[in-house]
Amino acid sequence: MNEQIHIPKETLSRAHGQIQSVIDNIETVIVGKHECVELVVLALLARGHVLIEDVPGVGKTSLVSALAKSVDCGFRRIQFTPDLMPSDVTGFSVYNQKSGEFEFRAGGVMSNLVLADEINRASAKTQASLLEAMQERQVTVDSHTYTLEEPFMVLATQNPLESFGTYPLPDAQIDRFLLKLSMGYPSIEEERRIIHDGRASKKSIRPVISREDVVRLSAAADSVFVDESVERYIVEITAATRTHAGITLGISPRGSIALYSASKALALMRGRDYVLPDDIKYLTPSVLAHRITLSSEAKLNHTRPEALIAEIVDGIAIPV
Amino acid sequence: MRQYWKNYVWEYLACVAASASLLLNIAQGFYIHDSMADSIPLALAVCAVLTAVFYLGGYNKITMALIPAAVAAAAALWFLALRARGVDIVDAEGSDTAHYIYWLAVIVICVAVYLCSRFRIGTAVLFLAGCSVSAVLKFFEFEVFTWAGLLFAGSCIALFLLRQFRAQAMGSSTASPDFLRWFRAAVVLLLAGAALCCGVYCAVIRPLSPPTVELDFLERYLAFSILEHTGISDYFDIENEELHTDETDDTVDDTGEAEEGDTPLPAMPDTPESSDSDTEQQPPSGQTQLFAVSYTITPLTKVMFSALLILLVFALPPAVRIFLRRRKMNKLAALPPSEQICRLYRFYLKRFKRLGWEMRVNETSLEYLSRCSEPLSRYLENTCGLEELTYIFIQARYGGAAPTDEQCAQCREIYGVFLKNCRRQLGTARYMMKFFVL
Repeated sequence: MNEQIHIPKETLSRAHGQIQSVIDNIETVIVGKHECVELVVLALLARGHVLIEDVPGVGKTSLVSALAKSVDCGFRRIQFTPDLMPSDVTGFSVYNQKSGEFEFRAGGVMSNLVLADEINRASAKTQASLLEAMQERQVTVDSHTYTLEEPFMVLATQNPLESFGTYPLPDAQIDRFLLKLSMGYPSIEEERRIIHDGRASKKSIRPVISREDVVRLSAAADSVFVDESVERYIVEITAATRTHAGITLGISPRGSIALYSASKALALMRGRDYVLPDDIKYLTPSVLAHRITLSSEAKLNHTRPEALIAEIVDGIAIPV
Repeated sequence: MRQYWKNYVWEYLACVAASASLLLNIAQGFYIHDSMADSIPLALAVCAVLTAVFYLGGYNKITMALIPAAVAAAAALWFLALRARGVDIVDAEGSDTAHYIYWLAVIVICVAVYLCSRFRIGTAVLFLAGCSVSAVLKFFEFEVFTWAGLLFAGSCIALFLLRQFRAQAMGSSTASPDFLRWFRAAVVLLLAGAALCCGVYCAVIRPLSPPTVELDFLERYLAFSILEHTGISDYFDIENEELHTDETDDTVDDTGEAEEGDTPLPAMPDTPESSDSDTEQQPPSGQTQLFAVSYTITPLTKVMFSALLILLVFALPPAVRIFLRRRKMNKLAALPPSEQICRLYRFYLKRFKRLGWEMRVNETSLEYLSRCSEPLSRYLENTCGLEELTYIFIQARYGGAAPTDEQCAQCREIYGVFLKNCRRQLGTARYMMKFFVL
């Protein structure tokens, strides 16, 4: 067993404090969605992207905006419409008559935090241009490659209710999102607080950490220790999805990598420099549920992917 | 229950095979001749039923309590019914005594095989003990079934492998145990043991001792004398028609006659001395003297066997467990700190399981802590507590950090205090049953 110190104690406690301050700062604006806030911050640390599927008006944009302000990062919003072009996302070159040269106009993706609102409204080609940027963390326009600055995170949203005139993301593309969340409606008390606080709280958001701190925290998350038994536990879960009767397409190795990275970030958020099986269990619904394709029978039975994932996790022995 | 039998069916079959083969060889070799002992299917059936009773007993706590009580009640009712019908189970003639000894042997052998089959080291001890008994019988040229000896050896190997499989497979649902490696190890051990025994016999016993035939006779004579002194058996001469001549017809009339139910022993070679009753008769050259053995039970023997049985059933399991646990705790101190903590944690989980707080397969240590911390607190008074133990464990198990010596000592010290608290909370009888007998 590795007996070395993975992250020094001071670094660990400072990292935990910084992360907690970001979460607390966001929660001054976003009321009652602690788990969502935590998971979005986790995705930032794990260098992943988030897909939020929810009805309009529950605070998706506010969440991303609050996150961007808290970490002093650039924020851009791209409203996806059917007529949106790939160049609107990635950027394009335009000829400047005065200088006689082509100038690059950065697209919406050239920022630290990008909100891709209603991603399922744009054509497949436009979706692909964003997804390519997500995967490669760079864009290529007119043979020039522009690397996207760290940290880079895309929060895409889609409305689960309206399907007319939409282009659903293919399963292979959904796989690129680290997490899929649903914020849901607030409770009565939470909504009361929201309407009471109104717009005032949004103006008071100030950065609590810098962009460089986010990069350092991501590096610290990479240093978190994962025991071999926990790694095996992750792989057992994903392997079990490939043979389950209710699942046509199981989790790919990308899903295993995603769960692995997310669990390290979660451990860091909780002030530990090692991952526990508890972290894995906590993250599996958000990280894995959107990566499986249900069988026809499961769909007929209205089985939810989260329920299947939970059933699979319950059947795997915890390494003790 | 179905899943339980599905998990244990092969172990059960191996236990039955081991019990039946050992029983047949012991009954045959020690001349426990009885109408039931001579029937192989009956021996198998008896062992199968008894072993099934023990496995049923191990299913859950309720069956563990009910089954032995039911067996004891059935045995007592049977005994009383026989007495009521006027059947004398123990008589001076000895034929029913052999029946009694046979049933005693059945129970002892089935209990011993079942208990030994629960542990890997137990199966190894069983193998050595059973093979030693068969080897002794064979060495003294008593009648044994070679096929039963081989069946016994094979059953012990199968039990050992099944135990090893169970120990390894418990670790993960997708882990595949190294079956082939352990099978090879078992075969190598068997061959090594056989080679060692052959080597000792050929190199030491044969060169040093008289030829086996004379030694065989001496040992038999000594064995019978010993048995006679303890009151277990009495040997006497039976009529051998080959020895009769016109001159000796009258003198042989006074020799003891073979009892009903006694099987004459195989013919003995020429002996330098013969029994007292045959002092005046020397068998002609090449002819042999026959004698028979009948087993009798004296009050002393009854008490001895009963005490031995009670000791075996009630005192042996707790004694063995105490010995094994102390040995385990002593061995723990020599392990690296991380390994020590992990083993201690699993050790305590097994004890908590006996109190009714089993950790579920899909439950993490922290989930178990939140569920069971409060109910177990009264058993962990005056210790660092389940919370501290859990956090030390998860740090050692998943964090790769070596615990300090104080933490290791803290975790070890829980054991003694925990047992005292259990004794106080449960009462001595329940405590003994939960932790040392069942």
